[in-house]
Amino acid sequence: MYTLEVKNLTKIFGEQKANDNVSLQIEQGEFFVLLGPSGCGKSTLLRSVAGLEIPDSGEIFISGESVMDKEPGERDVAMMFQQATLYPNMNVFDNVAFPLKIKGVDKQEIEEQVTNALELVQIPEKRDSNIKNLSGGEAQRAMIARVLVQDPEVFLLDEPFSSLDHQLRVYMRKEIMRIHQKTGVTIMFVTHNQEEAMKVGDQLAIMNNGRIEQVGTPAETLQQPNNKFVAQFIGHPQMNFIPAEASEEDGQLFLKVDSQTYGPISRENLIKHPESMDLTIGVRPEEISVEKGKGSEEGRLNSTVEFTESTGANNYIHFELGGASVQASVPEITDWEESDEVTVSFNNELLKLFDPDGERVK
Amino acid sequence: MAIKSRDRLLKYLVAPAVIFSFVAGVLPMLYALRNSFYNINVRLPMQTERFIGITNYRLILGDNRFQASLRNSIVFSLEGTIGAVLLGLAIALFLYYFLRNRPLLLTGLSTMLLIPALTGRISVAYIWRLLYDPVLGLINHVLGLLGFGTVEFLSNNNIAMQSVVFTDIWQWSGFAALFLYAGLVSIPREYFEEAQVIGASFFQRLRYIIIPNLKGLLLAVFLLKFMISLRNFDLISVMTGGGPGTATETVDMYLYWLAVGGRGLLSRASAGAIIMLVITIVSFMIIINLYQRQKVGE
Repeated sequence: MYTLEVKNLTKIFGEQKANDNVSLQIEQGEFFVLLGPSGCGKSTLLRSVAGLEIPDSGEIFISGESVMDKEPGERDVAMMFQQATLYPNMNVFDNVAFPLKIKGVDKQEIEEQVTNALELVQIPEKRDSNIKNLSGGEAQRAMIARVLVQDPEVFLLDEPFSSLDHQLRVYMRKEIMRIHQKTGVTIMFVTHNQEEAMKVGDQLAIMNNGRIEQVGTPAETLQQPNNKFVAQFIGHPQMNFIPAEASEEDGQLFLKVDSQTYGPISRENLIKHPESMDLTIGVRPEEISVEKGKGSEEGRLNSTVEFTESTGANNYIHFELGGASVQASVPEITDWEESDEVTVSFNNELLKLFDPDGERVK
Repeated sequence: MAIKSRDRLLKYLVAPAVIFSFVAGVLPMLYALRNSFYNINVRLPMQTERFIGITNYRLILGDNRFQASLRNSIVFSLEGTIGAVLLGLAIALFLYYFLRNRPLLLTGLSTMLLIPALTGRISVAYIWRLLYDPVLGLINHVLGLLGFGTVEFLSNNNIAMQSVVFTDIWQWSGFAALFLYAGLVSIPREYFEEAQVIGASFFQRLRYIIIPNLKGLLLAVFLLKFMISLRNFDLISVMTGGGPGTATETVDMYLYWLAVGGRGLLSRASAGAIIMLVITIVSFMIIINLYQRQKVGE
């Protein structure tokens, strides 16, 4: 039995399918991240789970029980919104106590639980503060405390930290991980920030155009992307995509980029499906090795450096292959200059190939 | 320097308004204040004006009919204001919960809600006098169809005041509703959604979220409506003329009668007007004070 299960959920706004036949399962205690660009339907999915949106079709189960007929308040979920939703007419204590008060919990119990929650989020000294006097981080903590006291089956977090500045966001991210570890609660977390998703998530679901493109651990989505969208969305710096044509020779696979030939590489499956010959090579900047000068060796690619770039920690050179701009990481930026000749080879073990539909050729 | 001369220009520009309000508002008030200490009877034009101290105040405060009219004024203004604000809130909540996503219906209904407030008081008074009429009135006709006896809305001592108050509420609750609806829309939607996920009932939302977040606006609307209610001469004059007897006679009606209509006791009426002015100023100070404290709290 899954703590949260979504089956074939579809939600249509006007003409647009915000969620298109989405299914997913979340296990007890999992930190599950919905990741995708703005407008991909991840928030809609979360809000459907909360009961704030009514899906057009599909079902949602919490702890094995369908919640489709239940009001948001009866679903045993708690939600944290993007905007601060602490009520300005209540102080911190009353805000955190609010869900308990609504449930009719007795005063002593409220006192105890709120005190515990405030201690867990490490702002016990703010209990009587007016919420206007809280810093951004403190307000977020108070909101987390309010979610905690509800003791729900699932925490729903809708881009909770996106309004914070970078430093605070990193800090709050660690906080939510600490609280997750301590309480073992199941979390469904929506974000458009892939770095954040990779760091906090046990499982990621990458969404695009209302559909889930891939579900997996952060490492799986990074190393074995299902398709081009996932490959370009996950990982920083972004993967390079180079159009190529496959050709077979003596049972070995070669890739033609423009007029140059790269290979051989071993891809048995591809040879079995010769119809998918128009390919895209996907390779991350750190999986490219470059050598200065025009190589004469067979099976490597030549190009010319267009410009160099350094972020301080990492150095990159940019060149063009098959009409695509390619970025490769280099150990020393000082070795390279504009219009240098460069010989390129890829780490063939990690090289990804995508078919014309964008699916990865496995 | 440029700023200074601009300031001077501004002073000149507001001067006409200041002068006008001084001549039309402050001077008559000061004149009334002066008159309230003299013995002036407009029915005895030959009488010499004589300073008589606070005699007028003593007489008017001891006047039963003045006391009754003061009570009527307060009842009318308070009931009318509270009624219009509460009914307005109910209408605003209805609009918010059921019509927020139907702009066409919302616009149409909002316009309709404003019509009573845009209609002149005298017209409203005549319309409702007709509606309430025991013989020709629509309300009694409907009551008759339902098997009830005729109700003398405006000539029954016990309900005349409530009938007039009801008309006042009818005229102004739509107006209040539009203000409060605007306030409701400005409450962040997430507050309601949060409450929804927490499982708060409608009344819990009303009590813990809506009322506290609308407090400032509720007070402002209260103040505005209270001001409108204090000017009730036209409505009540047309509907009941203060009757039956003096059951619906308010302070301004009585003072008018005292000075002009009946006995010509201009200076005693002036004393009554000054008393009313003081009461008004004090009650406004209290409400504004509450409003500002609310503002500071926000």
